[in-house]
Amino acid sequence: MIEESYIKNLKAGNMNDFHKLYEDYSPMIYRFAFSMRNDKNFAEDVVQETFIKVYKNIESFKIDNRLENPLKSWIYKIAKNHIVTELKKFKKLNDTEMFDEYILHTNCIEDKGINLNDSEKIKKIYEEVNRLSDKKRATFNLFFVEELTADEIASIMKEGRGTILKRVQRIREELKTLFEEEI
Amino acid sequence: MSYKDEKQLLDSKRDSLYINSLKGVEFSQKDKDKVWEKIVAETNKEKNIKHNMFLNFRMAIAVAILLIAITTFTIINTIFNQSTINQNIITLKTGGEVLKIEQVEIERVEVANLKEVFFLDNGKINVSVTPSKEKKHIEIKTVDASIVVKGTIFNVNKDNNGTKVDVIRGKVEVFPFGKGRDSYILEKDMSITIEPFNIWLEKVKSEGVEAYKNQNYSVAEKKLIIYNMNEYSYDIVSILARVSEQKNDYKEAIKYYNIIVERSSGVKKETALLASALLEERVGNIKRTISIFEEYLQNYPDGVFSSEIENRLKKLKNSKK
Repeated sequence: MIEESYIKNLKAGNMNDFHKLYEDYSPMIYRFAFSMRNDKNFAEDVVQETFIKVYKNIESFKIDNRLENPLKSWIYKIAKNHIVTELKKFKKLNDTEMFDEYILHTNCIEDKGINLNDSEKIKKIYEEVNRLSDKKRATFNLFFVEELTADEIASIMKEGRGTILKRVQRIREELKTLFEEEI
Repeated sequence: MSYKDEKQLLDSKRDSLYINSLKGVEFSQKDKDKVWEKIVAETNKEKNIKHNMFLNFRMAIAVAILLIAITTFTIINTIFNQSTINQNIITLKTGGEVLKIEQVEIERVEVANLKEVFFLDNGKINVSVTPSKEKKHIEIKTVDASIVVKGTIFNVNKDNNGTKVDVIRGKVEVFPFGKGRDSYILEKDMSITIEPFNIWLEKVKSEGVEAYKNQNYSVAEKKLIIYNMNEYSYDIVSILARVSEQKNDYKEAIKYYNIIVERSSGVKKETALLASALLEERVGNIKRTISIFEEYLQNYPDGVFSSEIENRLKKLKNSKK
């Protein structure tokens, strides 16, 4: 549960506490942003802009007791909004370019010693993910990678829990290779 | 779906190589620290505004501004219903709000635009506005900025170094001149000195170019678009074209090369013509490509790229047959 004194210090502009907040939450924002575009610079830019906005708007943050970690959800919300705005400016890279970036930055092939057949499977999964709309992709990443609950994702995306879960079901249908069979 | 089913769905993919590989994406401490420095720099700017930090600068834009003078005050007298003068205090009444102007150091002010916009050429004015039911738009303008009254007391001080605004009570919004510049809302005890346009613009340019060199294309594009809104520079438009190409936004890149074609001459123009033709070809506009090549050869028969373009044109026309 979030401590009220911690929030109070953040609102007072305490930089030590703000730095702690950044250390705790920047990796997840980076990971989330990276998974949306597989671009390291894009992910860094999102982290930077998100925490600047967190700093500027912390006074307006209100604890939502329905969520386990309302501060985390709020930070994700800011990041998601920024990502959505920024993605509109960019053309989607093609499957090959995005896959190359994914391999480069996740080292999945090196770390797991995956052979050629397996890498083809990963590539197929990746292409299916790349074809998802930005909203579905964000939901996929928040649910499966960031492991947020449907309630938390609903708060971030300003939708109902039911809508989020329906979307997850549809994602399962679209990501056949990932959900039916995997390495 | 119940909460139990939700958990089961999540657990079902815990062994997923793909998902676990994304979970393993690392934000290295080096990159974390690099981004943190940028955040601190930006948040310090916010703090400086709030703690009355002085920013040095000059300004260049907008029309000249004048100050209050006894002679102009006579004009004001006839325009307003009631006006009084008491030593250095000139009280203007406009539409129910009383605008008291004190401590005037320079003599002339010219009243314009429904008597709601006051120009300050040089010197200091203290503005005290009594709130009324009908909020009127009251504005003090200098060459550096427009300061819009939102029910407050504030000082505007214009000298050779720039325009400083101090808020004593209430709230004002300051609009620095220059496209793409943020405005600032100042409250009690806040002040700001507006950076001169040319210094701000130069900063925007150098930050954009630096970001481009560091391959931080989204930041570079943001900054350089703002620069381009205010001033044309061949180097900057070239960078914007290349950033667009990086993003595979060829139509945007073509737009930038066309700007260079319009505004440049010599080799720069020739290069831009060739680049735009190649991009038109990439997006499938063959007709347009041929037209640009033909235009090039007509204007630059002995140009830098004329033999290459002749060959490309021949190939294009043959493939069309």
